[in-house]
Amino acid sequence: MQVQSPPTTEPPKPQVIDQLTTPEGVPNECSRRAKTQIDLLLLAIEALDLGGAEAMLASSKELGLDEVIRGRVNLWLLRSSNPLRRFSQRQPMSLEEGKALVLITCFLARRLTVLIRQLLLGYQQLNDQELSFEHHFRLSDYLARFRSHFRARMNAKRSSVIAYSTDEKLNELAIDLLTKLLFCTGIDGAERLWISLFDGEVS
Amino acid sequence: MTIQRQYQLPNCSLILDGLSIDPTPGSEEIMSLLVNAECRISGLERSLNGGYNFFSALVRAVSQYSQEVLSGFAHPQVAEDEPLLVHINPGEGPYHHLVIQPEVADLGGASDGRAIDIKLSAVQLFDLSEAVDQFFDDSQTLPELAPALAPLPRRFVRADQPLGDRLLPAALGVGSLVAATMAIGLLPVPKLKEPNTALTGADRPAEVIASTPDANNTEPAAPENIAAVNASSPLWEDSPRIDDQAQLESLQTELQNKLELNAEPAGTFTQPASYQVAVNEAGEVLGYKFNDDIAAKNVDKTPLPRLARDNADKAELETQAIAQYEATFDTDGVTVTPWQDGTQVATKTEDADATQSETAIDSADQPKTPAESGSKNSLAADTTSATFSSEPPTTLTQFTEVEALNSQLKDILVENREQPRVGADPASYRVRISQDGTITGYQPIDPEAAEAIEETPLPKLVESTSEDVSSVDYRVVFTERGVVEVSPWWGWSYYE
Repeated sequence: MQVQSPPTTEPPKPQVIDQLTTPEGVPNECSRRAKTQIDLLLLAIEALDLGGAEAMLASSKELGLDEVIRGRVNLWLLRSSNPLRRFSQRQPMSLEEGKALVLITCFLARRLTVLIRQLLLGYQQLNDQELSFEHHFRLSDYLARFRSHFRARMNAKRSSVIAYSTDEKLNELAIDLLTKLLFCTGIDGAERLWISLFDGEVS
Repeated sequence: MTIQRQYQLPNCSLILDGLSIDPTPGSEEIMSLLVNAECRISGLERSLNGGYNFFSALVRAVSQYSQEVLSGFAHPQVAEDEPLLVHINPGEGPYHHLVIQPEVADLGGASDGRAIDIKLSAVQLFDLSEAVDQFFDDSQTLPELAPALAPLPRRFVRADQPLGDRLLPAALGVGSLVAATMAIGLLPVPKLKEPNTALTGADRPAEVIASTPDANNTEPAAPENIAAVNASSPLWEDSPRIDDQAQLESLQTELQNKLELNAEPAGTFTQPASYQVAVNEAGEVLGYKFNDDIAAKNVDKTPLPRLARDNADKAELETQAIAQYEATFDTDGVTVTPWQDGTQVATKTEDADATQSETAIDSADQPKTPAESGSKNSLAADTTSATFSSEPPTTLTQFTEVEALNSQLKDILVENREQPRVGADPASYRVRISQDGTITGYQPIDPEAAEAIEETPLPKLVESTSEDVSSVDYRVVFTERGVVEVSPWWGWSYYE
């Protein structure tokens, strides 16, 4: 008789997550700043890549992180732990979940390397020639999309969001995030991003 | 055996020439001695060449600065007590500046003695950082150089502030860095000396001030507002002094409460650190100074930089009347006393001595006999209209009197509160009441209580007494259920 039974052994913990080491002396959940940073970087990825939100779920499976990021709702809840969000969920983000999101961010950033470099080079040229962003189609497209994502999802009543009330400020933020994403594409990008999230959290 | 290693990226390549000096099998491929390090950056006609000192300083600066790009917080790029050989500063727009002292590297041509300043775009900087990371990942080349990635300790980062509030100081910091970079370029070869760690107390610690040995001579190195809140300001010399006794006392209380509210948890300071603090008539902290290394080192742990910065760009800073206090942070918390500088300070010297010699109220829990405390603090009462740091000058000893005052105090508090305080956490205070039923002082037991003070009737009930009246201290708790609890500070048994 053929019996269908689940595998007896527990599936091994996702291996990829262990490549990130947790620095000593950090609290056992991600800080407000970490939650904000991760969500903003993912927001920038969405602005770069129209299918970014789907790609996050797909890459979570690809990296074997679907144990940690359990589907669409879970991903949404985790990103909504960003305190700047309009519907911010006051829920903690565990270190494991933080690591998973960092790995996904860097994985997607690496895929977008060419585009990120092009946009930053474009920004540099515009800056050198003192031209406005409109002169670079792809860049102004990214900035416009980032601004609209940001305005649609962040709580405009929060003082830290009010600081980004103008197009100029949001453009600055978008470029800053683009530069950070570039540094995420490096071979040690994930480790560097992960460690940077704890700046100021250790004594 | 000579070995060459190359790490190539589109805009940057690192070429290392070196030797293997370990002949044991398996180790002969490891480059353990660096002869020359060459760094080629696209757009730069000649390449940078230097020895081990250059290369180790370069990889450290690049690695630290990459973390700075990711987190936005300035990372120290050189270990304490080491000379600053290679440094990266943020520039304008997409640019960054790689600054190298001429004695460790050259660009091929004759050196004119100035620091080499290379403008890197974000993409060039990243390629340099990536080349360095590829080198770090290569265990066969100079294995002793490791990235040492670690989060920035809290003392280098300002306390929690919303993102928006950080923008202004960051912008000022960036501006000052640019200014410092340009200043370095103009300076003759700086004589290398140990970075002045005493100066790291300023706002962006290890960044500009500690890292540019000669920046002491160049004004732009420190952002303007920091100069204004710190020692060099005309604030200290030119400002008129407040000499109204009552005002000085209330300002002292206000400063004490403000510092306690913002201070780090107890135990942060292992050694006492003292600061001279100037506040204006509105009680805002305008500036602070420190005179020793302990204070300099720990200034970022105090709320002073933050409080002072909020008021740093106020107009006509020097024309406002100020009062000066000494704030001492130690293991028990913070103590504020009038500043003794020989100029007009309203409190009499012996008063200050009395309060200074006394420990803070929290540690004064041990009952002392009234006679002993009375003689020791005979003058303390006039300095403490709203708060106090010692026992009452004279106290009552009769159980019945203490009991009567107890119920009197409770009645006063219940009658004068606007509405019962319900729902919040209990708030406890030490309250002093004189024999005739006047509340002469109060002191929150903890920061939570200090925060809740406006929800209690205490602030408006305090009246100052100048004579030595007998007083009793009580513990007053406003509980979460809206009940006011009053009991003698040293317990009932003390009076039986």
